[in-house]
Amino acid sequence: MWLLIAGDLRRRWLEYALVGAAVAFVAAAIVVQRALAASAEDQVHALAHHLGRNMLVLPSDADVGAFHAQRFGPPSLPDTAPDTIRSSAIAGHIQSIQARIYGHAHVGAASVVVVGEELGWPALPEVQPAVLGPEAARRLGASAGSALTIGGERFNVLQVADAVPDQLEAAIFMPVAAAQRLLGAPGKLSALRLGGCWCRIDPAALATNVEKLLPGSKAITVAGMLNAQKGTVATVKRYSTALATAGLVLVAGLVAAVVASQARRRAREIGLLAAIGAPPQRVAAVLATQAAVAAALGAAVGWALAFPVARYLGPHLVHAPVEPGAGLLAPAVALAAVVAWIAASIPALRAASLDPTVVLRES
Amino acid sequence: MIRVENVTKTFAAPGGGTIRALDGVHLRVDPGDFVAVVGPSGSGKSTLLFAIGGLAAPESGHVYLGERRVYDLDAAARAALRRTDVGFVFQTFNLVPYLTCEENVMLPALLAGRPRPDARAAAGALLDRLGMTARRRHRPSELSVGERQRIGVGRALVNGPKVLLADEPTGNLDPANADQVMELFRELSAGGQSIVMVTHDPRLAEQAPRLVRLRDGTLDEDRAAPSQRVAR
Repeated sequence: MWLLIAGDLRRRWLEYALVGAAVAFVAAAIVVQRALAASAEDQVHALAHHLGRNMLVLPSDADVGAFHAQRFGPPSLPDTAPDTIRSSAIAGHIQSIQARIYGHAHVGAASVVVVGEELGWPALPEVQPAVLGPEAARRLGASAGSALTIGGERFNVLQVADAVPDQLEAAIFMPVAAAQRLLGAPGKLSALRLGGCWCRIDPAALATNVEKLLPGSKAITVAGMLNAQKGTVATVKRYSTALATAGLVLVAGLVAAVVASQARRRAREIGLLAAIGAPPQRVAAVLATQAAVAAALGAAVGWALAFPVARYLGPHLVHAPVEPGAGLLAPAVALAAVVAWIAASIPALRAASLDPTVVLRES
Repeated sequence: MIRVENVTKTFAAPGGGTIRALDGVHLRVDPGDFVAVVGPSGSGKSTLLFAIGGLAAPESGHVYLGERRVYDLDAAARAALRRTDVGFVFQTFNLVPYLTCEENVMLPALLAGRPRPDARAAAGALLDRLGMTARRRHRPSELSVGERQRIGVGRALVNGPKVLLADEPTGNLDPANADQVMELFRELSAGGQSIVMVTHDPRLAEQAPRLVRLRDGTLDEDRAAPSQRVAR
């Protein structure tokens, strides 16, 4: 029967290509959606891992994903926030406060991340001390002892650090006041990281207290993130299932319609096959297999199409590179083929069970 | 070989009621018989052919192919019977348009489960016998109507069926091509092939050794054709 399958696939290639194209779009949408969801989940895991037992305090309108991807928004926590916490009732639960201001600066064609943090900087006459991450040193062409001028501020590079915290390899670290001047945000901070063991207080309750203490802030803990993530993951999974179901229903409907239309046009051929002894199930299998082959090829094309789409959408939607897994190819192809085969079987069986004498008489 | 015993077949009429296409028909066709079935339109000629071929189950009576009662077999067994014991030839050829001549002839052999090389060899031998070897890679649309019918006959013969059922095989052919097909059928018949041919053409019917006339679903006449009577 492959003679008939291959022959008709060649003959009606445009029809099958249209089925394949529809399947490709649906498969690409599902694969991209799964890749984006997986990437977003990975990001949250990475941030949670990075946070450990700390608490991250950000401006309430900050995008956590963007923050994690070093796309910093304007700082909007007051730089009095550390003192506010130290003088509050929750101070006993806080063992360390790391206050930072983040931003971006351009030096010629080079772009670097600016990190203002109090690190016990030495007092230098008329210049500000700075430490460079290795990537920042490369971009700026600087080394230990270099003098830099950024935004009218003069810096002396004390050191190019081999290892920098928080994957800030492209950052220039400097005193908070210098960073505030450089970024045009006097009196502002971007984030606080609070350290503690939290063994005597519920982290969620502590986060609520911090948010009350610092209006316009949000306090993020691993527990809170994971709770939020559970809801997000559940929602994403619901949407993912709904999208996949809608896509598969669409594919099934399209395949059934195309096969029903083909069966009408191939009535003589089907009648002939019955007359020369082909059982109806075998005739139906020819029609269904053709649809399944077209759908499987479409799914493979859709999977391949998902790569450039996900690479393009990833930075826009989840602020991270997104790569669909190769492991999705086989399930996508198999699922498309099975759905198409089942959807095609109904009109195919109906066509194959028609009385051949009727079409043979009409012909 | 073929026995049709008291076969009655009815169809639902479009405006209600029933049409009695065959009404108590008896017919016996022995190996090597070449029977032309004639009669006016609607007399039941094609229905008789389909009933013999296992495609139209009668309401009453029996059809025997060899010792087997065709309609006692289930649908799968009847399909198997058509694959091996019956060959159909149609007025409109019914060739698969996207297959080559060779592939069209091979098709029943492949359906019967014969290995591809074996099917190809059988098709090649038939195409050679039908003078169509040079056309084996052509598609039906590239052939004349006479050539198409020869391919149709080749397809019907590829599994060496016991009976060849031809429904108006010359209906679309000019007289010269029609005569060629008749000549081919006479050769096959002389070689022991049973042939039942429905035709509207009295000239061709007279060329068959035996003529059966149907009228309103009943067998009106069953006799040796005049030319054969003279020959005998």
